[in-house]
Amino acid sequence: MNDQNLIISTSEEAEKYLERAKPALENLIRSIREFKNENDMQVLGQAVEGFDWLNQYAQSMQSLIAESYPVVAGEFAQFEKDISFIMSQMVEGSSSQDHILIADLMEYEVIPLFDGMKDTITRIINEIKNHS
Amino acid sequence: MVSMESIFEKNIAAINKRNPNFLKKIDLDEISDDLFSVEGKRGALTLKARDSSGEYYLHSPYDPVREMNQLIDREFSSEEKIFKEARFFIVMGIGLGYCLDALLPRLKKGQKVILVEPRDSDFIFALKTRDFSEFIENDAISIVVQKDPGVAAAHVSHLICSTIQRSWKLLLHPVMMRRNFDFSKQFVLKLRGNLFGIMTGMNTEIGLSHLFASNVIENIPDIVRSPGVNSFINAWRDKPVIVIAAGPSLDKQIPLLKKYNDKILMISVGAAWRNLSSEGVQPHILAAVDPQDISQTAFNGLECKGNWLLADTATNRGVVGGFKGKKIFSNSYEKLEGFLTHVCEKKGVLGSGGSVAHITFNFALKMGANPIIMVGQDLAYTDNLTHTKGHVHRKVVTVDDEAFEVPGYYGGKLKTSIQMDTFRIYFEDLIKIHPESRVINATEGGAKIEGTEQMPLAEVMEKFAGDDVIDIENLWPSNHHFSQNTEQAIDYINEIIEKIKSAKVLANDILDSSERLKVALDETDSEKSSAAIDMEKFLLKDLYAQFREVDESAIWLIESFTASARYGVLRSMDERDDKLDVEEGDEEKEMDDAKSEGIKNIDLNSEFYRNIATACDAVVPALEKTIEKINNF
Repeated sequence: MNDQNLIISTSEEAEKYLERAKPALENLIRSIREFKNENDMQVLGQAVEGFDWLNQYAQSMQSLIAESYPVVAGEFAQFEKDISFIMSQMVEGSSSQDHILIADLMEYEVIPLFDGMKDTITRIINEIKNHS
Repeated sequence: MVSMESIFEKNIAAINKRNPNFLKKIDLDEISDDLFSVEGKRGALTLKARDSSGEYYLHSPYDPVREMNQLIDREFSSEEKIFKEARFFIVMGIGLGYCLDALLPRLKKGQKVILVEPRDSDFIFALKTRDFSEFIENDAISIVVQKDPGVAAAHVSHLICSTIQRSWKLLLHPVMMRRNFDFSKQFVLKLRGNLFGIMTGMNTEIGLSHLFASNVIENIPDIVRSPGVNSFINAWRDKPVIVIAAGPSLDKQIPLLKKYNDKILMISVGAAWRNLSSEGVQPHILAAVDPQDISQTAFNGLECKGNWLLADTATNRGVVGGFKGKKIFSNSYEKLEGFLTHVCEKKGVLGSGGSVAHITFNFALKMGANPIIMVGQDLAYTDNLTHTKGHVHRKVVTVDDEAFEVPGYYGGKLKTSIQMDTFRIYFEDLIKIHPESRVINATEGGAKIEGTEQMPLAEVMEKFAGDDVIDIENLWPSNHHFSQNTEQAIDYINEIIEKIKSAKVLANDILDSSERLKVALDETDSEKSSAAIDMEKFLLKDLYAQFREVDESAIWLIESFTASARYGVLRSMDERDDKLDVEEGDEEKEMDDAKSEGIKNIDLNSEFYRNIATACDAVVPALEKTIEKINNF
């Protein structure tokens, strides 16, 4: 598998993850706001693992497309920076069990960030496919 | 920008305008050191608090208004019917008032909000941070600032219950629960308990008050010849007493109760007697308070073997009359005590708390017993059972939605009912206000009762059972003179009969006068009718005044026979208020209806006095029969 195929297959995986993640995050936000389930924080931990995987993906993408697609690489760099910052705030919120902060961070930061990331990924997939 | 001082002053002025006494009970100098406001990321002010886990937001740091709107929307859509029908929304914790912002626009006419804030400091903080004057001036909002959950629950239940209990919905944001965890938990339990108590109390008064009065009248021959609980004050000082209830865990304790039956004083609820007796246990004292006939099933066919009966003066006549042993009487409330004081000496009041087990416990307290040892006091569905063997209501429960969990005797959780939980809370309150008595819970099952010491019954018996056989005859008061009471009772009953007959005459006069007023109101010639209306109103006013002067005891008896009718009148008035709420603003229509409204009021009053007259007809023969029984006793 060459670099381009690797980029496309990983990006498609990331795209699918983001599609599935949005409704799941919205449910989790609602549940956290209502303090409904005791295992919400456990579920949040799983979600954060997903964020971490996206973070690593964004890091890899920066180096893989830096030369061919510098503008999009910059978007990945910004994503990495933003998601790292949000994750650090979420860790802080988790340690003080601040449900409102965690729900807000997901609603007002993570979801819009994911929406933007999904657009970026779709764009890079299309651009690579069009050039090959 | 408006200064903090001027916001605070504006809020204070609004509070003083609405209720000048409100702030007297609040410490205006109390400062929160664990609460602070911060500017939200989108400009709106938000709130953070601190506890042992760290700092956390009480409102959204991004958009607190949207957060509350979403929350209230979700609540409204998930429980649409409840929200539509609720008359009161109880909001816990003031925060920065965003919950009120979201809730108020959704309220329908007649729906009200009760804001409960347990911390003076948080209330003051809110008043210093945001302009609440609009909320404070809004009659649809009541504010309760009270740190004691019991007192707060009492205030709120008073607001919710006027003559009928209105539906209510609690809005407790989880984060407010975190900030005020102990308060919220206690408040909810106490509120639920209070409302249940009020509801059952009202039902009892409505449904059973004539039964209460009938039993009291019919029990008078026994009451005058028996001592009251006041004769036993401190009679068992610092000696142990076992109070036996009819919970399912009683079954396993019976062998030990049998073994030590003669070595420790045992007071049992009557409902456990059948089971105890069949296993050879004879409690020294049996308690019965239920006025209804069904209570007889616990006593029917059982032979008194030296036991005494602890009865309420309103205990079912069949139980009191059928019991062949000695009897001790108590009154369940002061008004009854007042009535009976004219008949015999003061018997003494024992608070019931809703169950006969509370009577046994209160009697043990009155006797100065120490320790008081509870057995069979499950107050929960142990092994899914409701009662001990032989109890008329014993059944296996399939736990329904109403059942909820409480901490168990051995840890863990147990299902219980609202009624049993209310009983538990009352016990806990009793224990709290009687620190002088050591209370041991030897139920070995059921719910945990806070304030009690848990000890296995075998250990209790080892420690507290005496060496000598209990001789309860030594407890019997030697100074009881029933012959004097008998004469006094007959004289007083005759006096009351005459007063009730006079009351009936008055009630009939009011009915006649009311009828004439109705005719006058219907008269088309306005000049002629106006004079007649004024004259009849004057006469009626005088008759009402005379009726208010009727002897208090006579009124108590009459009212006992008319409780449901009185309730009906009050309910009609309440429902009419509700209707007026809905039609508020339609003043022209109200003016047109004024005449028919006046006639409706007369009809309501007439219904009440018609019932009074009927009640008088029922009370007089009952009293006459009592005199005959006393003479033939």
